[in-house]
Amino acid sequence: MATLTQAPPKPPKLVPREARAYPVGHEPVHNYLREPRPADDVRGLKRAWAWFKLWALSVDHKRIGIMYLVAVSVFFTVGGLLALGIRTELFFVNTYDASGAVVGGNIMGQDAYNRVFTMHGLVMVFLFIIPSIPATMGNFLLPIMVGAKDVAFPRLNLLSLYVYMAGAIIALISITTGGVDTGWTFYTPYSKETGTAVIAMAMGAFVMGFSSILTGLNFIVTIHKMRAPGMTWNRMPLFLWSLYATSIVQILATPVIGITLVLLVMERVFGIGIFDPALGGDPILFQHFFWFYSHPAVYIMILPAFGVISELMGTFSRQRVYGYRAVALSSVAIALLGFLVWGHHMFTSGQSPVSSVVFSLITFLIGIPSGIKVFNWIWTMYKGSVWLKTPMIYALTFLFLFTIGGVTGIMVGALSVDIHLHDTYFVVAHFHYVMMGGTVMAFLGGIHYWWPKMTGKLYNETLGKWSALFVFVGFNMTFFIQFVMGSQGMPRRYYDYPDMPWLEPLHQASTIGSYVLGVGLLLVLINGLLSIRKKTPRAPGNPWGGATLEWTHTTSPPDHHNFHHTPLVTHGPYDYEVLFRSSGDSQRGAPVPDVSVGAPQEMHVTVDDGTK
Amino acid sequence: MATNPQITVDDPHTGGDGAHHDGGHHGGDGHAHGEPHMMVGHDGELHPSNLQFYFVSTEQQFESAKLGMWLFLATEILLFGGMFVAYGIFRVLYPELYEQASMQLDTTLGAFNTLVLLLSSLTMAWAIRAAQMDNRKLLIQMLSATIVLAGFFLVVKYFEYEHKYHLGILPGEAFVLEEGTPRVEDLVEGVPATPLITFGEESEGGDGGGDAAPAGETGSAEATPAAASAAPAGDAAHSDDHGEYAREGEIFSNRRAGIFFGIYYMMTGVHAIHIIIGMIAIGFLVYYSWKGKYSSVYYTPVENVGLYWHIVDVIWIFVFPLMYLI
Repeated sequence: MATLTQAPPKPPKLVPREARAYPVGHEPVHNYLREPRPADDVRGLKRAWAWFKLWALSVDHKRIGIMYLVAVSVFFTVGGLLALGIRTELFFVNTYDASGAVVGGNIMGQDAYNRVFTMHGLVMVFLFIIPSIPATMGNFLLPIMVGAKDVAFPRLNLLSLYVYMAGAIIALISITTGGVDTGWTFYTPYSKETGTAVIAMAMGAFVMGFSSILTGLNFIVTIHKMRAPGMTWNRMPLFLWSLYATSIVQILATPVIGITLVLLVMERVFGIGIFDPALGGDPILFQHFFWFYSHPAVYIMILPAFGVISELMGTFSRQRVYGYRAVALSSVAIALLGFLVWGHHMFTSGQSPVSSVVFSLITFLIGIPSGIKVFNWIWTMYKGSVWLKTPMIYALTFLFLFTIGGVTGIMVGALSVDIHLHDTYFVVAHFHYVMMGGTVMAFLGGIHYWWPKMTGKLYNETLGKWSALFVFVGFNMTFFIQFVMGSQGMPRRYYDYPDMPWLEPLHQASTIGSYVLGVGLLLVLINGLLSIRKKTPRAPGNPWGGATLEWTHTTSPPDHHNFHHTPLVTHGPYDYEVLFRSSGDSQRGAPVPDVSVGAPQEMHVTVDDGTK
Repeated sequence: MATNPQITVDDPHTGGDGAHHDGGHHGGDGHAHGEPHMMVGHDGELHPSNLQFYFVSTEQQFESAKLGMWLFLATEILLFGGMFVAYGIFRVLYPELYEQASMQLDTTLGAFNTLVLLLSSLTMAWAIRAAQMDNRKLLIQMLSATIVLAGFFLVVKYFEYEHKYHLGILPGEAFVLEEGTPRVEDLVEGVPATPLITFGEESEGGDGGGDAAPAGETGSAEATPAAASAAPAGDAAHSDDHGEYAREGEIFSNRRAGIFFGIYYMMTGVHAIHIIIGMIAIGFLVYYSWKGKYSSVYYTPVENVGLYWHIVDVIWIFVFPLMYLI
């Protein structure tokens, strides 16, 4: 019976009115698997406008994820350029004339420098890194990974995007009113006395907090209520576990920064006095409030990265992630412990020695779940078929850099060491190793990994590997030197270092490293832009041989409603051996799929998804 | 029967044209909906009209909406939690301040407002019951009663604010202190900073209080916009003979008085904003109930707004004794 040629479509038959299932004019014309697109007869500008509306008003989690990706990429670029400005300023020690005026060696004034590093911090923290992985990959993948058609509240999801945009615009307004020079921490009493731009910036961060809360709320409900049949908690991909832990932190911590920033704004506008010592208020209370959010916020930033790395380690080692439950629950443990360590930012603020000791102790405890993860990832690679594609190279970079960042975190978490290193470049290097070496590396690895899924196109593997090399070398050159500078006493946020001229070569090396890093990131951008050209061939549905639902059950990019049928999950997220039967040598893990970049190639495996 | 208005095709797959809904926030999309439980179809399948395409069943949809609301309520608790912490910290630091300051709050009005809010929670719960019983008339009545009670609360709150405004009881630096009360900038070196409360004693900076009054004037106009048209606070500061607005109590010579009232205005103000948001939400409920959107089959928004209204009530139950009673 099999025919090789498809019959031409028959003209629609006229059905008697009584037999119709739908009222006239309301016949379902949409194949709901097809992406909505403008009608064919809409042309020119109208077509562009129709496309714009389809995207801007789309409640499809995939489109929202991609819109977030564009937005955070733009802000990452802005923040990165600001960082290059900071580094360039520090390239030379300034030269001063007899009156103390700067005559050489600088590219911007002191006030401009303060605004630039403040803006760098604020843009990177609030506009880039907090929404980076959850809002882009999380939005795109979470519903697919649980086997749902969308998140639980799609319109709320779109709202969170626009709230984020509104917050960004409010924050950028602060530039027009003079710029903020408080550092991203807004410490009182200085933030009460400096320019009025603090108000706009604080309100912007407040508004963006809503976006973060809405995303977290959506994720928790989706994970709790919308898992496909068979998707038990212990079959969830580790990325979901980490997003779940992240969402808990987003929901429990963000309201506190919200009220803190409102109190700060009220302090500025009405002088309510809570943070003002002149009225009996307590500026240290602001630090407590601020870090009660902002320390858990660093786990909002790093936990999704852990999830991405777990996915990469499994897929590119062709082997089950070792210690699945330990890795999953350590995310939750980090999320909860993360609420109890905020005081370690305040060892030198004059808080009571007892609380400093307690905070220091709990800070050490955080090392345990983090260590569990790192060791399990290494174990996952052991005896696996490690497949060095670009995402895996970024994942290995993450392992290397995050371990350095984590261990130096334990160092500055120790009281006596922190007194020496507090507010030096050592701390700067530490959190860049964690945030950039951790989260950004995972972000880049994840973007490369899911790029075929998100865009339907494969990136250029060679270019991808070159970019990873540049990023790795540039990053270490920039920031490892800063550990050295910090331990020698280079204070953070300083505009110049005339008393420490011996640091000039180190600063110069660090600056050159930042340029190399910039080139690496530029290569990533170029690679992405090249890959989405029309002439790049389409990517296969499962180029990496992944075993999670987005690879096994959807096309690249996924259909409008993700799945043809609600999937029935019959295996764990990393059961590569089950899915891709190999020679039977289970010691070596599952085989590496045969993918040549640029040549679309489906894997010749049949997957029993329970729908046949 | 081709144009039977009871049958609507709710095809949510038309892309981002507003035809997607979450959590049952229907309406305003141009579809004429019949009875909420009317079975309508797309793609050859029949679904309840309020069931969104990404949910499997109405139960799943209802539970999701409810869990989402509970999570949102958790964020509300933490939002107010920050202010409760500030309250607690300054209470420990300055216990006398709190004793003096709470004397200025009208316990009767506060208790009355507590009663009003409790009653509004009752009507709200009753409204949910009415929706469950398909009693549309009762539903609308109870929702309207909730709005009226909420309005009552705000009116009483307005009179409380207005009274304080006239007395110069304003947040932070706007608080109008008795003349001669030393402020921090007056406590020059040699004067110990330890006495937390200075009962109107003259110090070197005797003009400090006088200087503070103009600051109070400028700040106050913004501090209580509701009373912007009232007499400026500076007048009140020097008009102890006005029987109704007598400035009595040690609080007026406590240079930290502004802290307590900073917290007071923040907590009650943020709470009042929540009341207003709740009134708007209940207003929408009344409108959609009137349109016949809610029934025993579908009343998720009523339930969720009810949850929100109860949390606003519960927060007041904590604010009232902390501020007014102890």
